[in-house]
Parts: sequence; C-alpha cells; structure tokens
Amino acid sequence: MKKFISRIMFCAMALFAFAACSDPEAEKLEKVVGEWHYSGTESGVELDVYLALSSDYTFELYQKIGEGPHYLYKGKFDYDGEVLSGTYNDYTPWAHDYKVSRSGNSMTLTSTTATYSVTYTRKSIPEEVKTHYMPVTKAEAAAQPVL
Amino acid sequence: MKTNMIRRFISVLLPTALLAAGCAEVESPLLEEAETPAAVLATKCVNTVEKADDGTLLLYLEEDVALRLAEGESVPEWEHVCAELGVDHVEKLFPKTDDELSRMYGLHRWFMVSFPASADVQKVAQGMAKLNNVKGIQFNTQYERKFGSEAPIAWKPFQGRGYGEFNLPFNDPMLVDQWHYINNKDMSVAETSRTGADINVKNAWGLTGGDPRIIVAVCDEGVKYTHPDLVENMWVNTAEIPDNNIDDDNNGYVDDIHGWNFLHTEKYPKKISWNEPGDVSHGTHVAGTVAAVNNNGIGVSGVAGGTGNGDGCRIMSCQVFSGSSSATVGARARAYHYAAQMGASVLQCSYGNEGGYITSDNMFETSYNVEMAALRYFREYKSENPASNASPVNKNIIVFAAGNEGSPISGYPAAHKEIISVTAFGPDYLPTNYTNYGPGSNIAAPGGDVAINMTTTSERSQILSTTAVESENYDSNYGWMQGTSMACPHVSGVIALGMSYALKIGKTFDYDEFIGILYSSVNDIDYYIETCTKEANGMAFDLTPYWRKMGTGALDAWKFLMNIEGTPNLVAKIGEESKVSLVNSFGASAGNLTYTRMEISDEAHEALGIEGEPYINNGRLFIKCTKYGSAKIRIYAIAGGDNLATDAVMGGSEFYREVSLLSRDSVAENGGWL
Repeated sequence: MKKFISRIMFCAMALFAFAACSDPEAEKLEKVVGEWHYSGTESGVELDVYLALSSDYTFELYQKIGEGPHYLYKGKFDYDGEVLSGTYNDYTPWAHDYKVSRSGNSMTLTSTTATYSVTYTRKSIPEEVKTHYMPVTKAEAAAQPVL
Repeated sequence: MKTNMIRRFISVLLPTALLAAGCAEVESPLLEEAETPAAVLATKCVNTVEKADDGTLLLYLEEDVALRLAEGESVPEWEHVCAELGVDHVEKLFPKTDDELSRMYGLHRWFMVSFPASADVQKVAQGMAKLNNVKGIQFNTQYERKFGSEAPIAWKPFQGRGYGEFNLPFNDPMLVDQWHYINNKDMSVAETSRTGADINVKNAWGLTGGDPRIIVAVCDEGVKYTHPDLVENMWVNTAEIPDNNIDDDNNGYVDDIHGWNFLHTEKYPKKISWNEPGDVSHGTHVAGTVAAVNNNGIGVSGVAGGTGNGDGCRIMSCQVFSGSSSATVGARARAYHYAAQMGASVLQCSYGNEGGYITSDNMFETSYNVEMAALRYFREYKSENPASNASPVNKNIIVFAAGNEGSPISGYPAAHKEIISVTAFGPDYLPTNYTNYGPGSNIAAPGGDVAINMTTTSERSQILSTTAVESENYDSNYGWMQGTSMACPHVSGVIALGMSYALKIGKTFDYDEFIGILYSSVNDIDYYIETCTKEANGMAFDLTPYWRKMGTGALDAWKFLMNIEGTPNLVAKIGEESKVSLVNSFGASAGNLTYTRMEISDEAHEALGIEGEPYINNGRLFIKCTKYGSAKIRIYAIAGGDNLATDAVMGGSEFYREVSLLSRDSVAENGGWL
C-alpha cells in the first residue's frame, strides 16, 4: 500500500512538473493553429478561402477567387505571438505580415504595413474542398523564373 | 439504298453507254491536242505519283458532271475516255453528300475511279486529265504504316514489385501495370520511373469515367469489337440491322454496326478485320487506351472507359489499315466523313507522314487536298440531332500522332494548325528517343519507352492495353506497345473525358476555348528536361534539343477537368506594376510559352484603371491597375515552339485563355491570397 501511495505521489509530481514546463511555443501557436474560413465578394467577384495553420509551422491555403475549383498553395509560416508572416513553397513571401487579433471563433489579420484586414472564422475545411482542388506544386512554381 | 443503286448503275452504265456515245455528236470534252498529256496533268494534279495506290485514282469533277454521275445519268464523253483507259468502275468517294457542309467543301464532287492494278496509274491520270470536266486529280496516296510489323509483347503476370503504392480506383487487375495512368515510381517499370509521370487520371475518374454520348472514332487497323474488355464500350449503330445486307439507315454503308472498313471498295468488300496476316493489334491497342471498359474485373482500364456502370465513352472503328495494306487518302477521307456523319466528336489517328516529308500547312493542304477537306468537314460537322453528337464543344476535335522518327519536326497531318499533334514521354517524364518534336508539336503524353530499360522486364515501360489476339484466355488479349501512336489515344481519351465532364456539369464550350484549356492543362515537362539526365539503349541521351519542343507540356487529366469547371481570377495589386503569374491560367509551362498578343477591351481598361501597356514576360503578366475592379482579358500563346504556324511556315498553333483579373490591394506575387 505504501508503495502504491508513493507511486501515486510520483505520478502527481510528474504531472505537476510536466504542467510547469508546458511548451510556451505551443501555447502561443494555439491562438492561430487550426482551420479558418473567409468568404466574401470584391468587385463582384466571389471569394472563398480556407486556411489551415498547423503546429509544425506549415500552412495550406485553398483559395477560390471567382469561378472554378479551389487552388491549393502550401508553405511555411511564423508567429511570434503577435505577428503572423509566411512564405509559400516557391519562396514567394506573403503579401503582408499580419497582426493577429482573436475574438471567440474569429481571427482578424491586419496588415502591419497597409490598411488591409480580413476576418476569418474557425471552420473545418470541407472534404469536398480537400479532394477537389487544383494543386500549385513546387515543381510548377520552380519553373517560374525568379524576377 | 439509293446511293448504292446509283453506284451500281454507274458501274454497269459505263461500258454500255459507251456504245451509244460512239455515234453521238457531243461538244469536244477534251483539251487541245497540242498540250502534252503530262503538261495537262500537271495543271490539274495536286500531288505526285509517289506512294500512289495501284488501281485507283481520285477525281474532282465539274459540279454539273458530278451531279449527273451521282444521279446515274449518262455522260458520254466520260464513258468514252474511261473505256479507253480501262477504267471499269466509278463511285462517289463520299456516299452521302446532300448536306450543306459536304457541298461547301466540295465533297460531292469527288469520285474514285478503279482500273486493273496492272495499269499504269500515271497514264490513266493523264488520260483523265484530258477531260475538261475533270477539274482536279489526286493520286490515291498511301500512308506508310507508322508502326512496326511486330505484334505487341503479350502481358504476363509480374511477380515482384518495386516501389510504389497501389491504391487503385478500379478492380481491373492489370491497372497496376498501367503506369501511364498512375505512375507510382514502380521500379519494375523502369529504374528511372518517376512518380507522376503519367496523365494524372486517377482522381479525375472520381469525377467522371466517361459518357456513352461521346464517341471517339479510332481510325486505324480494325478494332476487335468482340474483345471482352472493349465490347461494352463499342459504338453501336442502332439504326442498322446486323447482317441483313441492307443499308437500313441509308448512310451509304451496309451493315455498319461498329464502324466500317474503309479499305473496302465496291470492288473489294471487306468487313472490319483485326487478324489479317500482318495485323499487329494496333487499332485494338489504341482503342483500349481510349476506352477499355473500367471496373469490370478483367484486364486493363481505359482513359474514358467509364466506372463500370455502362458509362464509358464509345469507340467507333474506322478501319484504314489492314494487314500490310496501308490507308489510301481516299479511304482516310471517307473515314473522316463517315465518323462525322455518324456522330463522333473526336477523331483519333495514330499515323501520318514522316517528320519533314511535308513542311508546311500549304503543302499538306495542296498535296492532300481531299483529305484536308474531309478533315475540315469532320471538324466543322455538328449534327442537328443532339442524340447523335452530344459534344459540349461546338466543333469536333482531331488528334494525330507526331511520328516516331525522332525527327525535330512533327509529321503531317499532325503538324497542321487545325490538328492536335501528340509527342511521347516515358515513365521517367522525359522525351522518348523515337518521338518527333519541334515545329507542329502541341502536347505530350505517355508513349512508352523501352530504350530506358536494359533488363528482361523492359516491356513494362511500354503502354499496356488490349490486343487482338484470338484466345480463350483473356489474359493473353493484352500487351505492350510503344510509340507516339500510343501517346495519341491518351490525349483523345482525355478529351473525351473532358467532354463527358462538361456534359455532366452542364457547360458548353467554343472550340478554341476548349482547345486552349487542353493545351494549358499540363505539367512542365521542360522542368525535367532541364534538370534530369537520361540514357537510351545504355547510352547517354542528349535532352537539350527537346527543351520547349514537346508542346505546351505533359497532359494532366485532373487539371483538364478542373479547368473545365472554370479558371479562378488572377489578382493584381492596385497602384503598382503587378507581376501576375499565369501558371493558374496557362499551366505549369506558362514560363516557357511564347505569348503572341492580348485583347483588352475598353471596358476592361476602364474597370481596372489600367495605366500603360500591359505585357507578358517569362509567364507573368505585367500590369498596372489603379482601380478596384474586375474584368476579363484574352491572352494568346503558341502551343509548341516559338513561332506561329503560317500557311507557308511550320510552327505552333495559337490558342488563348480568357483570364479574369481582379485588382485589389493585397495579393502575393504568385497569386496567393495571403
């Protein structure tokens, strides 16, 4: 019995130690990681964008601007707890770095350099979109000369 | 029925009418005697006697005489000359020409005369040329077979597997060996096999497997229409009652159930055949690639072979080769005319002249006059009956193989700007050592490449499809072949698949728009040509000459269907000169294409506030927009090479994509939203 209690004590201490050393990076990322959705209209053109930010700092962007299927862009992002930035797999940087603000199920990205912001809502990417897209692959992008 | 009667009448009429004509006074139908026969012939003949068929000649007649002959009327001066030259049979080249399009292309004025093969065809031509009402003469030129005389290598089970995953969409047991559809870098196919060196059709089959309303005419050796993996997808002429020896549908062909043998003449009738001495299964192999029945638990899969629910595209057999007999120009022209009238939307032709034999569109149109007229007829023909040709494209599509001589110039007819010319790559995503390339070449597809393997399993790097072997054991009815002949039906099949998908989602297309989508639904083969090395037959193979010469790129079925759904807007940033990537609109080779022009309407200028002159460089549109807005602009490029084909100079075909452009203040250079 004594042995059993000491085991419980050990486990409790271990849990405490684990909690005490929880990864601040993971905590920070929790704010942005997940699947997000934006839809709207600009100049009569319908926009439908899904963004998946993963804890390994990779992203997938399914965007449909106008007609046709979604186009899939992939790349890596960085987040310092305040500003979100990223680079596509073809080494093209995102158009902006974005300041992140969260509210409930919403995430607003506001450009750090321009008067531009967009608000995403948390939403799983539909299976239809995940299987029915046009890839923008690295090989394709690599074929584009860097200007 | 009527046409046949007329032809029989003409045949019988000639010798008897001749007797009467001997006493009749008629205006001299002959040219001045002062001109030599050779000189007269030179003024009327469109080609040379080289490769001419013995025993037949094609004539283009004055309209009045053509109509009289067609009606079975006596034309005394004609009969006299025919008898003199030993011509014993005259028939309309195209049986049914009462439609406006046939008349527009003058097809009702073409006749074929026959005479003993022992006669001197040049002398017969000279004699016919003397007749004033013979306006043109074409020697009935044969195309040499562009494929070998060896039978395909029979399929056999392969025990070991290399790398790769085989999660297949259909239960056809040999699909696992069809790397040309799904290439998972199977090392048993080739040491240099590359993932994705295929037509990327696996996921496309999840959207559509085909549509029975889309018919592909396979002009080739006869298709073995009894093949267990083809029979369900064979086109059936339901207006014809089999084997009753009556032309039930009055189309000029008796008992044409699955197509016709165009080597057939009234003098030498033959049914569709596939096992004459010298036949090599070429037509059956090609047909299987287009639309072998999918998901039926046997054999192979076909590009547009359905999903196992009777939903495959249909194959029409238009036989123009048989055994050692080559297709004459008359047989080919008849086949195209028939295919159009019987509802085919795609013409699949894996043959042609050697690269360099014909060197301009003008030269082809002149030398192969009646063939070009029939090809144009096929392209333009749309039946008024949507049940017979349901294609969502407003014109039909013609696909030819580029040729197998390794020539840096596509063969004709493929190279003609109104025809799609298909080059071949291997399982390594690289040009094969046999493919023609260069001017006239439009798009690349898998053709097999035995030269990259030096092992006993080398046949596995070729294309696997149905064969015409007569056997109770269906496993032996499949085999491996290679060539641009095998690449070509991949393109035909994908076009049929695209038409099927457009029908499914209710979209219709202008021909140029559809072809533009096809040419831009590609992967960048030049990327691999630039960055890889290759061996052929154990020797280093120089890839340099192939760069930008294989067409717009490597065909991708999935991208084709996605583009048929629509092309998303490109996005330009407001207030600065944007460099908008055209990859999403022109395919992965956008950076290597030559762009010819842009059409930007005044409305588009106004909507986007365009400043300066937009231009394209390295696959990017440079444009400065000053206003929020959206508009469409049309961009033209060359499919294959740097220069546009003219009538006199070979080159690529011009195609366009209409792109929608949205101007906004936030967009990445590659078009990414973030």
